[in-house]
Amino acid sequence: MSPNLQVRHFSALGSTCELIAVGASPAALERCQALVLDADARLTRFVRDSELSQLNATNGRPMPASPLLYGMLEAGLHAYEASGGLVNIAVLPALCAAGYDRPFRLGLSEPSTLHPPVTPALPDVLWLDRASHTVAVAPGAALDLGGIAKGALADLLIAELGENAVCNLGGDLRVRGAGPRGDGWHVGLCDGSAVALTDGGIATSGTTRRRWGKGMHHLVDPRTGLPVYTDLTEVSVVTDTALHAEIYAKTAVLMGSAHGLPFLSQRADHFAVVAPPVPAAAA
Amino acid sequence: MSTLVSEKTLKRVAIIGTLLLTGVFGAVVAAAPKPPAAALHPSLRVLPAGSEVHTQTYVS
Repeated sequence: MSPNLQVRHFSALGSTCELIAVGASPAALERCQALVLDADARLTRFVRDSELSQLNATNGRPMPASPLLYGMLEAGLHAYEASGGLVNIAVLPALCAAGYDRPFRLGLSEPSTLHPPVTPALPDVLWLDRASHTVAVAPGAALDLGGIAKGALADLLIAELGENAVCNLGGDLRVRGAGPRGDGWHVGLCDGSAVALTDGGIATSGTTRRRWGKGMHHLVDPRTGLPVYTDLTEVSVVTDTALHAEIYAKTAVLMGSAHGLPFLSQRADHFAVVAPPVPAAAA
Repeated sequence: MSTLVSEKTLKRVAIIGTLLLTGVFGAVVAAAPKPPAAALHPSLRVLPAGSEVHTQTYVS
């Protein structure tokens, strides 16, 4: 490893974050960490007075948004379009109905009966006014930025770390530069393989973490309002940005292998998947 | 009417013509560059199994 390598780990965005940089000052990593923590405070849905919670409580009234929140909402709309509506940040009411209505560390319980609300088309319930930077969410709708925030934030903050760095926010990461040994940053993917990358984004989505009850997990299919049943349990994507990697990986998991693998073949620079073994036919 | 070119001659011409065309266009096809296999992005390289990594992507 390079003697100029700076590494920092901390908890934010409901997961572990990792900043790695060659040639950056400790102050640069400190500043980047502070920006991640500030974003976490603004964008969490679990704190009543966070900026996102305030937006979710506006009941349709427009409110001014910080540049950060505005950018994340734009990223949410982009994700909706790029995924054909499968990656939808308006899925929050369905996620809460499934039991994910508090921070995961507090423990979740499976609802005795499940009546998933219909998830609306995002453009029908989220309005952005670019000129005034005001935003509004339709009455009854609510947003969860989740992985979209991690990916978009990694893309946004990589510049804080200099020309040779990794910004890994809970597994969604953006890299740039030749890494500590000059041959790129080496990143492990979900299937145990690894790539070296000098510029781009990588993210993994799946159903193997944040599970509770009997088969409940955090990846809700907006078409059903239920945790998705899929034959792709994890997907890692390498592409131009962390946001796109997050969108493509999540879309593929939601699609399943039949449509998800062709979807990835057309968009990703590289991808890896984990799929459960197909059960043998009954004898 | 008299037949100016015999059927046998026509067959020979057809065979020779086919061989010539095959030779010419076959050479062109052989010389043409093959379409590239799905190329990785220039900034990306797949590492050998068991390589050490600096960081990891994962479901969170």
